[in-house]
Amino acid sequence: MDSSLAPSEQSIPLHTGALTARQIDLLLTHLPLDVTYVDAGNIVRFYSETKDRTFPRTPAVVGRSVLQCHPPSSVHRVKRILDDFRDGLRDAAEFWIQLKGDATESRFIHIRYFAVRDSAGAFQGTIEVTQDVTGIRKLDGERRLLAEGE
Amino acid sequence: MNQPASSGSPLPLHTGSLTPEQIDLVFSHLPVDLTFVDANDEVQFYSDARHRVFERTPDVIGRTVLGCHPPHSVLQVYRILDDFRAGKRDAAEFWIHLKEEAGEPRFIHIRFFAVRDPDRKYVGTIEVVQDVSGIRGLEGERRLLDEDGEGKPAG
Repeated sequence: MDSSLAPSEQSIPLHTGALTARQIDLLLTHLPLDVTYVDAGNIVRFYSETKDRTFPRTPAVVGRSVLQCHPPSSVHRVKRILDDFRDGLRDAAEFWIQLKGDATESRFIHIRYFAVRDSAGAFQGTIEVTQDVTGIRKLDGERRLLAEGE
Repeated sequence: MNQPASSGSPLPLHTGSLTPEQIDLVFSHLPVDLTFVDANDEVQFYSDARHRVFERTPDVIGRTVLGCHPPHSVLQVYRILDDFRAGKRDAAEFWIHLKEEAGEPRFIHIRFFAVRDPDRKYVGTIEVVQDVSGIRGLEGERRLLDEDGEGKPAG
């Protein structure tokens, strides 16, 4: 590491490559999906602040238990998923809903939870991935890279 | 990576903080495959997902995108990167049917996004590859409420 650089500009070695903190932030905010990471103790550690987040989050959730971020009526279901992940009973859970907004057409939202396990198989937390898949479901035929510039 | 992901000092990010181990794990557990090339078109990082659609090996790191694309399509890739750099567009997308030895072809969605900092300066491009076959087959709704009474894997 070059200590003359600001912390956000120092290169962080990763398993397959290296990125600076600034690049990691930019990369995660340019993804076509929203990510929230909760550690093995159910504490929210990070969420990606994408431009058009489907479910807005505020920095206040960071450091809080994920069980405090869900309405009481559904919190036991979230807890069960996290408990199943921790116990190794399953690795993923998925949901999909049709969200009606002001738009004439509803948006198709895909919500997935993935158990995060390290290379030794130890539970290291959960990621929630939310994606607006309305456009993906409408793609027709193929559009290949070779079509670029035509 | 045998030590707990909670070890190592957390890196402060815009909205939260993660240790380098957690960053690796988050990327490798995403349902999309990522490759990041910097503003000089050099590969800096790819996500080491277990079942990548298009394989990557560590030797591509530090190489130009030429090392990741077959010669017949590399011109098209450069045209996209040059347009991103010049600010002409921010995204490009493609979709193909990938034939499998057995079963239905997989529907693969490939997107390129220009990565710009808050001052709109170009800092690189991410390639996002996703097998969307399952997503395209989803029907109706499955809500969190449907978790009740089910003790087995969802889906």
